[in-house]
Amino acid sequence: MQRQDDLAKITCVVDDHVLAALNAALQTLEIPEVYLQRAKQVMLVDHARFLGLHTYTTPEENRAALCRFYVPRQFQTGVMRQITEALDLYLPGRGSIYAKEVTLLRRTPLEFNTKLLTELCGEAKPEPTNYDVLACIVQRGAAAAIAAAILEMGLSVPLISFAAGMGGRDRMGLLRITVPVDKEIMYFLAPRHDAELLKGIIERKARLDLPGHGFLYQYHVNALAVNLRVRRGNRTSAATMEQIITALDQLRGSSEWRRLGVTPVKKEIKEIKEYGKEAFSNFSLIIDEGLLTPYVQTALRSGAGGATRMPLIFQSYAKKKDENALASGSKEVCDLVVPQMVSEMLAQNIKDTDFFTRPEAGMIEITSVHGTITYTGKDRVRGQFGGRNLFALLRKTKN
Amino acid sequence: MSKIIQAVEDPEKAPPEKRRRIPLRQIVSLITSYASGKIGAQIKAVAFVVVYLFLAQTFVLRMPIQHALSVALGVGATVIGLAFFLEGLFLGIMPLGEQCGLRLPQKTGIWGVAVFAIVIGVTATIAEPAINFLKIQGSAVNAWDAPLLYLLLNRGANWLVYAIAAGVGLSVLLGMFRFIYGWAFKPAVYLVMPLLLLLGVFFEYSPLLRPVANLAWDTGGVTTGPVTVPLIIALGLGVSRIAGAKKVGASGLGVVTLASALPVLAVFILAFALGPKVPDVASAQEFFSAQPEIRAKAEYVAGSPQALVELAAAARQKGVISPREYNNYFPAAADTAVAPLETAPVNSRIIAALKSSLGTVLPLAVVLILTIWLVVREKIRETDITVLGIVFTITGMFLFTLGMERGISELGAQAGAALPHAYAETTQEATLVRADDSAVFTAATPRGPRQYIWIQQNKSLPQAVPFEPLNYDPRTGIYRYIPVAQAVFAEWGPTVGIIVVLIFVYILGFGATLAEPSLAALGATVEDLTTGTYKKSTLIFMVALGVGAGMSVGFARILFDLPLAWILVASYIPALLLTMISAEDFAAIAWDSAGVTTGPVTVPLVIAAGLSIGRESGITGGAFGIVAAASVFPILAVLISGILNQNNARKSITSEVVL
Repeated sequence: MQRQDDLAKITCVVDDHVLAALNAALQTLEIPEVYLQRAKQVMLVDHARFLGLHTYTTPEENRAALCRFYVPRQFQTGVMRQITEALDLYLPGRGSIYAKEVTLLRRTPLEFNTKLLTELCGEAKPEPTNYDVLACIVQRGAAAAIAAAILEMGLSVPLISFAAGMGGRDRMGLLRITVPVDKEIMYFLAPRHDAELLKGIIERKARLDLPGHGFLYQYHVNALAVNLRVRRGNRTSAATMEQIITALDQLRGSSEWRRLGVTPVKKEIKEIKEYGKEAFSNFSLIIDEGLLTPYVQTALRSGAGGATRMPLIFQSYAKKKDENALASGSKEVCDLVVPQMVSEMLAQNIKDTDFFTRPEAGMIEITSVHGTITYTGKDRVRGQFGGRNLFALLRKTKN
Repeated sequence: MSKIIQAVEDPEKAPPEKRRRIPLRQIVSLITSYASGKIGAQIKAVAFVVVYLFLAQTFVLRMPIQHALSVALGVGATVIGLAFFLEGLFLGIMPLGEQCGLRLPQKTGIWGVAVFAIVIGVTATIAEPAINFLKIQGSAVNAWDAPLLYLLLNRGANWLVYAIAAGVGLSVLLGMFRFIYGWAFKPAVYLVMPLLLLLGVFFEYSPLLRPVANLAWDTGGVTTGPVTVPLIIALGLGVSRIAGAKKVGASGLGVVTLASALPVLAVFILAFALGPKVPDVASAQEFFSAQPEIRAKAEYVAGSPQALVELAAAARQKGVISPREYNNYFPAAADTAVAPLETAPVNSRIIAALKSSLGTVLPLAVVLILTIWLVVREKIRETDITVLGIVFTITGMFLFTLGMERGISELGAQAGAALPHAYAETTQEATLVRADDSAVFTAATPRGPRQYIWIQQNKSLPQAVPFEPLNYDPRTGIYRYIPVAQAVFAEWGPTVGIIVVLIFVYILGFGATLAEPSLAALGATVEDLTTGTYKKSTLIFMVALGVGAGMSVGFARILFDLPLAWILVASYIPALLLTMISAEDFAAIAWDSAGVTTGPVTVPLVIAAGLSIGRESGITGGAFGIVAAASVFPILAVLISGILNQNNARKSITSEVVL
């Protein structure tokens, strides 16, 4: 197993109509491994009927793709700039791009055409993080209401993807068919200073204070282009609303001015245990579709409390194909958020299986997580991060 | 603390995860809420068509519901059956198909996939119960009116099934190759559909081939049944995912389209091959004539000289040929008795439904399981749930088949039989009454003077009814009274009645489609593929609108005896044009929806109503063509909705300025 610590994960969220341009850009950069996740972007559409006498607003869902790939950290800014220009991501509605430091555990290290990357993008010191991504996992069908609330406030353009839950359900025998496995995962990209407010709204709207209602985690990223198009409709002005908002944000130095009548949410909900001060890691196990289950079970036995799996489409744009690169274009990713102190142990336990040695070897991506919210009631036997024993472990470490 | 760390540090040594102990009350609560959710969804799906049929028959066609209790029980069984069946598909059959699709190309390469595709296509078709409905329609066909069609639906029924199976097998094979090699979907449609339309038009102008063309078009819709479609979709999804993101045709859909189109081609080819061996369309007298050449061909159609004699005996009984003609044509034949049709007892119906369910699901499940075990050499994922899924599918299909027969099909048959009431006078059973010449009188009517006769039935009051001189025997003084029921809409003329019938079948088609299980499976897949941007409910609604329109056109074809080929040409050409401007994935969704529309809920209803109207209108060749028409209009509806969706989506990345 090889460990690569010097990489950055670039995530590019694009509207489906821009996907072809993204493929072309990635091909130019000869990115060796690209993982595409199907998703949808939500925005509000203003309608006007009867000569503008009757106006109303409806949410509109558009197909989008969440594309993740890895580059050496020194090329992070250059690659993002190159893609932003190729895709015109500065235009509203087309998409967002952001990067995050990442550690990869693989059988063989990822190889890049560094000469080409230097030539096209140039090396640069990575920019500091300026945005936060909030990922919230809820039951299938619950995302629309939360997305609408966030859109109404103009805080972020939600990206929603379908996922499946794993964890407690698997210990119920045949009765597990009665527990719905379908989930929705929402991603919100918002400025750091808006993240707390956003978190509070999601917490309340998703009722994360109740058992089984969902899970939220947050991580810092460096964003270069952010889609601000929260609504569309016929406009009669020369500048778009997004342009005006961006200009005012820059003038005011924050987006505080947008919050008309909104006060920050106070932490009054007792049941919510937030381990924001603890350090967490997000483990993403990526392997051919259909092979994931035993490794996730190993991870769950090693301390993870729950997992979320999503299908991915794999594509390689490297001219020289890696011999170990998997033949299948169909992958699955399973995200598990665990305390950092058990992450090494978890990695070791998975390494002890044939995860890295089997012909269709998998890959683990580890990123840091800066805050999590979920219900962890006292009567719960196993908590989100490994049950009672792990909470005891955390408390002892704290003391 | 060290204990704790040890406990989690070594997962191999850690005790296996214990099954969570759930209290009985919680188990009951979990199962209740799960079952009520699933059954509730099916009640919603079925409610529209049941309530509609009940209201239409009672209040519009003014006929009472017969066997109401049995119908109600049947509807209940259908609802529970559909819930079991769909859940079984999602838990058992579809995951098995997807696992095969995902792992087989990697393990065996392209040739393994090819063999598997053919095997699964052929098995699925042979196991498909909907093919039996074609044979039921065949019972209305006369050998002399449509000899080739008669041959294919009776003695040659197996050849027909094998031809269709070959078509489906080839479709699945081409579909899988399309995903692996990234072939686009649209060219396949541009290539196959015009060819089929050309052949259809050619067949339309041959009296011998024309009825077979109608059958061929219907096979396309019928072959892709409730088990085949979800399985093919799951298999396609699996294989297409292997192909990855860059491949053009990698949406996973489109195989059902081919599986609907190539069987049509296969039946056309079979008809070409058998055409020279059967006599031309002729009168019954010519068909049964002793001329050696015709006799040899007629015997080929019937199957044997003895079968031809039986056919002639049946024709004699119907009054198509006279006893003298019969004796002339078959002087050596004894007076062959025709076995009366017997209604199967309830027990044997239950056994037949069970056999049909096992025969449909088990062969496919066994092929899939054996492929995973022996070829892919892997364990079946979540074996317990998969087995439960297969059991659910079989149970569901059994209850559903039984329930459909006693419930919705029965309602449909009653309404179908009553349909001609809407626009035509219908004669009822004759009664013999005693009368004499003095009872006949002439009365002035708006249409001029008409003769009436006073009759008295049982103890009722005497009534004057229109007098038909031919029905009166002055020697015995007995008048044969044939009551004629006026058309329900007689006051507004026959056109209004026909329009009412077309509206009736439109709503019937719409309602039946809402309950189609394979459409529900396709809808769920499409919603998943588009991450919910194209909702299952939207797809089902659009398809239902299309099926309604198609059924109205199909019935109009029967009522006005219009040529099917030209109707199909007129509807497929706009579909092909819309396909050109549609996105690849929406085109695949639209064309696939054509194959899934006509399933086990719609087909029996269509046949019940179609046969009744066909009989009334004196159309030869049964009610063929309705399924074909009902398959093409959903394509148009979904394509239009897809194009609107696409245009809307494009606006999300463009600026809209109105200055």
